[in-house]
Amino acid sequence: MTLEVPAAFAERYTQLVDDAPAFFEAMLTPLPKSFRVNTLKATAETIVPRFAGYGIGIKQAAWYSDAFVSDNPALGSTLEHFLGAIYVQELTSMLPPLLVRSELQTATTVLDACAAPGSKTTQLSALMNNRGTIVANDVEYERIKPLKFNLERSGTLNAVVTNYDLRSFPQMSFEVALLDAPCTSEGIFRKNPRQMLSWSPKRIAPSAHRQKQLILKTFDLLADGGTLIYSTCTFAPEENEAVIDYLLNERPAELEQVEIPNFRLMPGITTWQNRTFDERVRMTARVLPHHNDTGGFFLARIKK
Amino acid sequence: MIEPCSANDKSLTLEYLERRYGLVQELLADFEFYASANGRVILGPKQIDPCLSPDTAGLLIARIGTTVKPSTNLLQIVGSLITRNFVALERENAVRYIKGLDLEVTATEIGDTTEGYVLLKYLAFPLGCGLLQGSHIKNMLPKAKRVDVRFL
Repeated sequence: MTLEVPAAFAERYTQLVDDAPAFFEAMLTPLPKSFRVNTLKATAETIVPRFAGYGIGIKQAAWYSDAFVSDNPALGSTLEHFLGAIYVQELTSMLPPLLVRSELQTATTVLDACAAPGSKTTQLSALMNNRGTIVANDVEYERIKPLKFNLERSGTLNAVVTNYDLRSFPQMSFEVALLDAPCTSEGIFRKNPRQMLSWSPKRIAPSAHRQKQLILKTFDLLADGGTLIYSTCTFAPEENEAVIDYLLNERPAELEQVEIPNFRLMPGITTWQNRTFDERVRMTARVLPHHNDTGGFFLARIKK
Repeated sequence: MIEPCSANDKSLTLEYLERRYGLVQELLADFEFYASANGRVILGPKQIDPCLSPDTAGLLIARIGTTVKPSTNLLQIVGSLITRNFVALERENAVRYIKGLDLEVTATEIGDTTEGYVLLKYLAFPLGCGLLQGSHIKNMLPKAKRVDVRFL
């Protein structure tokens, strides 16, 4: 079956992106497989020759030395995968922990607010070298099991797994928090193309409503001076810039410029469908599929 | 649910790991010991805020019954530091182990390893836990971790 971008989706996002034909062509191209070297168990220097020996071609990402791309579907059949030395993870999913890399060198309390299945938690743990405490929370109980499995396989010792609805999370104080919010997931259509067929703009408003609740709560859980990374894997401005704009109106939050060396980002937008956002929202970043051959993503770096 | 580990269970575990595998007790000093149901010993972060109700924390490292049974999680993490009671597997047996099968090993492979729970290695890679009984190794790899590895 030949897939096509739904007409309403195309109409909606043509005005948002810099190069609409390239954007939609990328959306219809399968996403390359990628993995992260789990530095709790291995190093990129040890993994590269092992995969060369297997005859599995891998390519190191220019923006993150532990990230690799491969066209070979056999990554899951390697000894390194069994051992937890590599973690099959989308490239965009590796971005939020990288934005707090320097904070993680000293942080002792970290919250991963929507943690399952654990890609970012295990990366946070690796960046912290198993020091300090990460609270890995997820509201959906059935997603806790794969979260725990991935933490085990990765050798993550510094995580505490909780199962709260974030909105009723106990009042605590974290130096770093990640909120990879549940969203309409338009950015992962390359991975699951059939989802595109059931895309509907009607899903955006309820998702955005929930995200606004989650970001206020997560911000309230930050210590003064703490850093919050808000991310989604969707393009909808209602779930991205509008949520950040809402936070800036409701709380004394500050934004910091999102930058990832050697990785192309598009600045956050400040107008969308007759709405105007706080000018500071320009410091957030959009990841477009045709810029780095990845899925779609949105990132904001927030200080309290 | 987890709770603080008793001093007795903590020292039982540490003494076992030192006696059987040559692991110095200070190795795990940066972490805290917790207890869970059925004698499970968990190694986790030093600090867990008391207002949290954790589902779990850290990793299951051992189960205390009639003896201490180390977990594959633990042996994979500290395996490179283990100096005794390990069996270095040939490629074919390594594949069988990861698949979840029991193994037969030769006297040469067993060397001076004594019966009981052993670390199974392939090259320098710590694969996990097995129970050595004579020339037979009972596979102790958790079912969820068993896979068909084609590249090793």
